[in-house]
Amino acid sequence: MRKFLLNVTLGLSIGAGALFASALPALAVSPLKIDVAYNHLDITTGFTGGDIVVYGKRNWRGEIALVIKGPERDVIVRRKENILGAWINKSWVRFKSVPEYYDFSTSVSDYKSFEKYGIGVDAISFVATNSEKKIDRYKDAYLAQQRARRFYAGEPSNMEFLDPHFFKTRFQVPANVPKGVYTVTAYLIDQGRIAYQEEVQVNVAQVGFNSHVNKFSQNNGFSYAAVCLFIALLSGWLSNKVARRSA
Amino acid sequence: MQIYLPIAEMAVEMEGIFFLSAFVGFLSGIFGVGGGFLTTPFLIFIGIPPTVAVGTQASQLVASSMTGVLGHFRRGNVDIKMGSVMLLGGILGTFVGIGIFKLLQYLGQIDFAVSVLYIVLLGSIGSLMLYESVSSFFVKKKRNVRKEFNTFKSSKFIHLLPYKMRFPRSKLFVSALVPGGIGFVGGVLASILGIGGGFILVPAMIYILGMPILLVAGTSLYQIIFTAASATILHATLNGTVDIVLALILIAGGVVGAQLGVLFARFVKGNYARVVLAILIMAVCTRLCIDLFLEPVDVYSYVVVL
Repeated sequence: MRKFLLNVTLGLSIGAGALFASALPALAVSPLKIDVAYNHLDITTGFTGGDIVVYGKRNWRGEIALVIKGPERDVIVRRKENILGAWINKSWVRFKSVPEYYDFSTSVSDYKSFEKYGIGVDAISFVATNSEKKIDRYKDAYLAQQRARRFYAGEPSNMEFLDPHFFKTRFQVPANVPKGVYTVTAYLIDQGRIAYQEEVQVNVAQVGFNSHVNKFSQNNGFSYAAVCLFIALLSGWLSNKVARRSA
Repeated sequence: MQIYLPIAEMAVEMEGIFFLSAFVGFLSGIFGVGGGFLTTPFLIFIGIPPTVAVGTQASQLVASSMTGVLGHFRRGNVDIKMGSVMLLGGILGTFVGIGIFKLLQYLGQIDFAVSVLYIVLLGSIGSLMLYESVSSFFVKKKRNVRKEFNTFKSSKFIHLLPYKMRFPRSKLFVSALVPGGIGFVGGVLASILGIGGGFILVPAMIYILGMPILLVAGTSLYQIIFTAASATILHATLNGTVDIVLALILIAGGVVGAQLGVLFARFVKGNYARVVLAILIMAVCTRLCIDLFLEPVDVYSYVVVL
């Protein structure tokens, strides 16, 4: 993925970068460095959404873009048509490997200008695996629904500069967010091209009780069903006991 | 309080679901109906995926049928032999039902099929119940049913079927295919709609099978436990759509509501209460019709392929 790897020596660093770097002589610094505050986002029983906070520092000239992508999966978009008065799913389009979550952030206010580098919701590539009329409408409907669910960014998230080179972005994730490995990619854009890029991963997963239940049900569906049935039979029996006593 | 459902993988308002199931439990306490036919559409209205609503409701059905059948057992009103033949058909029905369910899911028509089936079922039950309860205000029927016997003559065709069996408790000599077939229909309904289908099984047992009315409710509940259990296992293993946390909320609400319903039932006049229930059923049916026939806000919908 890494297109260029510029090893920048101390002398080339400027401003805050130089100050920071001078404390660490003999170390080469990369042009752009990011990390996440936490490399995991835990979905607990009380989960109502969360933040993925990314910090970064640039040691080279240029503008910055951050892109966070959820796991990529195929989606089927269906279109309802009126058949004998009822609205029924009829035609469909299957798109290959679409991110389930997409948000981004840029150091420039004109974020549309970054679309040519493949950055932004409108730059996501949609590849249909079947042919259907007006495929763009299926894509647009999908984008609109993902935006409404806050799975796709409407506007990019704010990039906050703590000093001219040290930045922070808070990506907000809604409660029903898809699980999986999220990838944060930082791009350094210099002189009309991507000069450098770097990736960090965040694991969005159920933890604790939820994760045990989910894993148990997937690995051992029959035992899981047996536990559900045992609870159901027991509470049905108890309910009858209580009813008899009170009657 | 928001609670995250581990299988549905979504956050829901816990109190809302608890009160909903308590309300349905309350109705079932008063009327002795299962209530699955109301819970499942309600869950779908509040945004639970139909697949999870149906799969989870099947496990709640086990609990409510268990509560119901114990009283009938104590009074000896369960024909275990008949019920066992029915549940064999029922379990076979759940396998066929889950096959249909998966096929509809693959075709993207499961939501459509579930709502159409509910519209047909709720519409016919609701209007029959409304007609019956309203007309009871005007016509006083002579209630002269001897519950130990069923005076209804079952059709000649029924007696021509092979594999005849004796059912001593019901005093019937009838082909095993008849109770088996009725159970089969119940099994298909349980796995596609998450309902016990008592409101279809009970009339079928009276009018097609010719069972004594006294034994019908208990026998039907007895076989629903096993049929619903089979549907739960199939949904959990093949679809992964049984959410234990959601099931617990539904069961807890159902238990509390049913107790209140039983207490309250003494103060309720049957005819008026049945009108209210009929109107409620028709309202749910109407809402489903609107969703199906009114032009949707967005004609597009998507699913993620795993």
